[in-house]
Parts: sequence; C-alpha cells; structure tokens
Amino acid sequence: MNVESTRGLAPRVSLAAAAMCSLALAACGSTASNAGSDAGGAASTTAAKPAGGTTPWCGTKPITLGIQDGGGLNGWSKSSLQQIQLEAKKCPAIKKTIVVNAGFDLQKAISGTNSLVAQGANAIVIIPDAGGPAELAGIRTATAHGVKVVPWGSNPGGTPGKDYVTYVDWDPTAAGRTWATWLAKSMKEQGNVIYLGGPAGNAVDKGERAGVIETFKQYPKIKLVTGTNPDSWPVTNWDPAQSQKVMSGLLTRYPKIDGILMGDGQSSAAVVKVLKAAGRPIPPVATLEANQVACSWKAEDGTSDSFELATISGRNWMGRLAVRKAVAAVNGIANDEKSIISLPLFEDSVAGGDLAPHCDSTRPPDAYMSNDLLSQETLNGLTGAAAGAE
Amino acid sequence: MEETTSRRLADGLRRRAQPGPFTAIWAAAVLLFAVSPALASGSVGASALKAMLPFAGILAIAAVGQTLVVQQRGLDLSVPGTMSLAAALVTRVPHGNSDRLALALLVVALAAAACGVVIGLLVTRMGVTPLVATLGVNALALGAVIKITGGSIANTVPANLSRFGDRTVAGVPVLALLAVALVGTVSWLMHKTVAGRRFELVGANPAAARVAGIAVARYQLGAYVAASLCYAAAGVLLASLTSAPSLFAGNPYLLPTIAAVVLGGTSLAGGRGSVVATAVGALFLSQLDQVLLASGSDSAVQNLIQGSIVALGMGLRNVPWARVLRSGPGRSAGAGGAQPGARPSAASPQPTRGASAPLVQEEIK
Repeated sequence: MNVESTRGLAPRVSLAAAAMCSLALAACGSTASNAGSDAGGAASTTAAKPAGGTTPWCGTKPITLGIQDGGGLNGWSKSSLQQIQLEAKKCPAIKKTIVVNAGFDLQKAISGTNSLVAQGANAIVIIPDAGGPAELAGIRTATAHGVKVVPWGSNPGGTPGKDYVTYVDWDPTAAGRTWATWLAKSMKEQGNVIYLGGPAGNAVDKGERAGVIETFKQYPKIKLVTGTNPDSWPVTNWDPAQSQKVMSGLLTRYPKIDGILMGDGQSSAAVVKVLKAAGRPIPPVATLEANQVACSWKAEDGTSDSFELATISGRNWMGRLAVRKAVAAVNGIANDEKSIISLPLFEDSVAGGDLAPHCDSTRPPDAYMSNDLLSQETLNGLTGAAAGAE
Repeated sequence: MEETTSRRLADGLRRRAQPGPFTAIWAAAVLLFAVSPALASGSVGASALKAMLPFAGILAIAAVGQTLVVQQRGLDLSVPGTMSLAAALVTRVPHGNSDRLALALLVVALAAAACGVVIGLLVTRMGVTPLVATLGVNALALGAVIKITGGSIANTVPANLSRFGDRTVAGVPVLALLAVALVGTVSWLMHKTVAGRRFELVGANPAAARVAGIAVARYQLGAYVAASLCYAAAGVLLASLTSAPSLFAGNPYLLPTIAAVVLGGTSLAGGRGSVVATAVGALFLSQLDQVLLASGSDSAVQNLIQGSIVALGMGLRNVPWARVLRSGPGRSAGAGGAQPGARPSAASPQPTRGASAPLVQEEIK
C-alpha cells in the first residue's frame, strides 16, 4: 500500500499540515517498533523449534512460493502470514517468497493471483476471502499454468484435485458441534442461547450454525432464541462496535440469556462488555480464541461478573499445512496429512489446568496464542502427521 | 400603528407555527419512539436507551461535521478515513499508557486539522470538487491507518479513556451528553453570532457573500477543518466505547452521517442548515437500528425496512406539501397529477433560496 505524500498547495498552511501529519506519524513511531518487537517475540518462540533440514515435504525442486491473502489487514492475517513464512524457512528449496494482500478487494485479489503466476511462482498458498468462489477463476487459471495452488482458511468452492491441489481448513460444522456441546454442559442443558454471526450469508457461519443446530436438537430445554434458520443470524460483521450495537438490541428483547455463541473472539469481548455495562449476568461464552477475550475472562475471574469461556484455535497454523501441501505437490511427493480438520477446544475455563484461557497482557488484543502454545505433538495429532514430523 | 404591530406579531407566530424544513424529523422521531414499544417491547426502557444513546451521540457528532460541509455545498466522503485514523492514533500513541492520553488527543486533533486543511485548500484554492477532494483525503487517511498500525490495532485504548466511554452522569451516558453539548454550542454559534450568520450566507450564496466583502474561502476552509475535528472526536469516542476498535472503525459511518443530515432537513444545495435537526436525525437512525434489532427481524428485513424508511423520509421531504394540501383532494389528480415526478425536484431548491434571500440582503446591508 503506497501512501503518497500530498504536495504543498499554499505554502505556509500546507507546511503546517505536513508538520502535523509528521507529528502524528512520529508519535506512532515508538509504538510501531514495539509492535515489531512483539511480533518478533512470537516468532522467536516458534523459531526455537528445529528449523529446516530436508523435511519429507520439501523436496529438491527450486520453489518460488506465492503467498496471497484476500484480506491482509487484521491481526488474523498477520499471524497467518507469520506462520506461513516460518514454515517456508524450513525448506531450503524455497528460494523466494512473494507476498500479495488484496485488502478484501476482489479485483485486487484476482490480479494478485495473476501477478504471482507472472512472477514465476510455482507454488501458491492463498486465503481466498476477498470473494470466496469469485476467486476460483483466478485459481483455476494458475492451476492451468502448472502452478500448485492450495487455498486455505476460506472455501473457494470448485473441485479439489482438479481446480487446485486441495483445500485446507477446519471443519466449521464440527466447531459448531464442539461449541454447542460445551455450552449445553455449562448451561446445565437448559436456557436461552444467543448466536451472533459475521457478515450476512458467509459460509463459515452457515457451517458453524449447522453444527450448533444439530447438537441442540439433543437438548430440548435449550432454545436458540436468535432463530434456527441455518442461513440467517444477527449480523455483526465480526466487528466489535457492531457487535456491541447488536447485543444492546438483543438485551432488550431477551431478558434472560444463558449462553452466547459467536465465531469471533474480539467481538465476544465487546459483547461481554455490553452485558457488564447493562448489569446483566455474563453467561458462558463459546467463541474463537483471541487474547482480548481471554484477558476479559481473566479480569472478571473471581469477581461477581466472572463467566465461563471456551474457545477454538484461530487456526493460523494451518497456513503451515497449506505450505507443506503446495510444496510437496510441486515435487510430486504425496502428503497424507489431513486437509479438513475437526478442532477441539483450545481453551476451556471449566476444565481449567492447561486449558485455562491464556491471557498475555503484553501481547495485542488480536493475538492468537494457540500458534505459540499448541505443542508439535498436538499439531501432529490434529493433522495426522507422522510422529516427529516438523 | 397598534394594528400593524399586532398583525406583525400574529404573522410571526403563524410563521413559527408552520412546519419548517427542520421540524419533520422531530415528528418522525417522536412517532418512532411512540411506536417502538409496540414493535419491540422494552426498546424504550432505561437499559435499551442507555445502550443506544452512546452510539447515537457518536453518530450525531460526526453528522454535525457533515452538516457543516453540506451547508457549504459539499459532501464529505472523508468521514470513514478521519474517524478510523483518530481511533487508530488514540489507540497506538498511548500504547496502553493512560498518561499519554493527552498527547494522543493532541496528535489526533492535529492530524484531523491537517486532513481538513488539505481538503479545504484543494476545494478553495485548486477548485477541486468536494467529492473528489474528500475521497482522496479519505484514501490517504486509510493508508495512514495501515501504515501506523501495520495492519492490526495492536492495543486497547488506555484505561482512563475506556472508563470515560462507559461513564454516565445522572444515568445518562456521557457520550450522549457530549454530543448534546457540541450540538448546542455549534447551534448557538450558527444562529447567535455574526460569524455563524456569515457562514450560512457563504453556503447559500458565495457570490453575494464575496460582494459583501466576506472572506468566502476562509469560511469554506473552516468548515472542512471543523468537520474533520468532529469526525476525529467521533472516532476517539468510538474507540473509548469499544476499547479495541477495528482497523477501519469509521467505515460504517459514512452513509448514516449523510442520511442524518438529509433527514434533518439541511438542503444538499447548501446554505441553511440545522445541526440540532441533524442530531435528531442521528437519534432517529440509531433508535431505528435498535428497534429493528430488538424486534428480532431477519437481517435482510432489517436492511429493507431501514432503507425504505430513510428513502421515504427523504422523498416525502421533497413533496411540496403546502401546494398539495391547498389543492385539496381530487384536484391534485388534475393538471398537477400528470407531473408528480418533476415537481418535487423542481420545487425543492426553492425554499432554500427563498429562505436565504433575506439573509443575503441583511448581510449586504
């Protein structure tokens, strides 16, 4: 992203304006470097693991790895890129990596894929969340040029094995089942549950809701008060401010709320804030991991506003799996790790112990702790990799 | 003589009693609050209002800025960029340290002022259309947000700012009170000071204002700077309310600010405007949001109802009601009935021009 400087228009005033802008950017300078060191800290934690060697997936063919993110403008994207780059460093055959972010702009995403092919990428890992199925045409074109493409994190549709190598992701329906089962136990199998979703019609929420609705059928005393249509939900756009607004409206409608389910950790923290401000009891919350919601849990632990929390990993580490599969495909090496993975709970305040929520107040609110905390053994167990594989 | 005085008084009272361009939104807001309990029980209860008012306050503050620009015949598309930049700066500069909040607020104010100055200079000195100038600065501000944050807001706001956002005074959210204070101050400045009256004149008729010796460019530039400061204030308050704002926190505020201005009755042709009516428009939109959410309607239905009400509100405003009512039932279907589409658009600028004419004379004198 280029931020062009504006040329002076009227000498004195524009000089003053420029000075103000400089001051604004300068004031951020120290914090920006801190953020950098924070990221570095996270990286060094993982980099401490044995890096490289000729791993079973790496092969010997020189690789130019294209990394594309349909978004690229949030903490989740940053963590994902970091995971991908760490995995790429393990393979000496990867001679070059090219990173392209689309900023959720479909046109940029499609031209980004084309530019990766034009720059000689022979393996591409892509998060097609700028347009989902609309990005499939670009992916097909890359595949037609002999590039091994592995989409992950957002389903582009199409046919794995034909339009691209394979699709790597969690199983959102399984996640819905896991959340709903935990919530049912935490609610003693009765009460009103509120489900808050992301943008209208998105595939992730549809999958999650299918699992939630299916599971709650086993608990007749639990009512999903925000509706049981798998394709419709209160829309928060996964935005904390919008989540606060939506939750405020729902508080009015439902005087008794016994459980909350939503697929965005940071927005869950905003929802907890609304409940607390309204003086309402905070029910058990099942969501995706985020440092901020874990810290909200920790802040309230032992107080009258304490609540139970369960999260599933933000799954940025699956970017590593996507790299392994793409590079292995270039070399014609069979990679038998799972592509679609059912994730267990990463944090569970009820179970406690190692599963107690992990708050690190020195890390950003949108830090995804599972990337650093899940052991290699656990990850191998999830992906079905051979023991000892890195 | 006495008869003349009493006639003048009666005329004045009649004029005041007549619905002006800014009264419709009051009626709409009263009606909405009246029917809210029927649509969603509890939607005007204390807890519901307490949850809705901070968001209404933030929208009202941003919409005040938009009103000022619209009064100067512009339309400001830099709302998302400036709000997001302010939210990012007030989060990143203090780095969680409450002691650095004052510095952060200063940086926010300077950055917002810089945005306003750049837009103002582009519009007044280089003759760039406000739409293009504000769109450009919006892109620059969003680019600055990405540059500053590196793509992720890595902090929550300082604790003292977060506590401020949650505060209430006598049960009323402090953010709503701030909005009331700002709206009151701007309204007073507009109606009770010479500068305010001149500001309206410049918007209504820049040529006449120039002839009258008013520094037109200065007022126009001032409008953009003041507007940017309003957006920045809204961005800071939004950050205080959410603690950890998203990267482009201001994005959802562009269209609502324009809708609040137009629903409030400020003419897009420039000139007369009412920040009070705009604030009521913001309150109306926020309550509409709340009621639709609380009614449990589907998100698609919510969007349809919201869009229809806003479109209807704007459309009804352009109907020449006085003429329609004068013509009476049955008669309007005659000659006038053949041109319902053309009449509102032709008639709409007239009240603004008519209203601004005495002002022009007054200023020239």
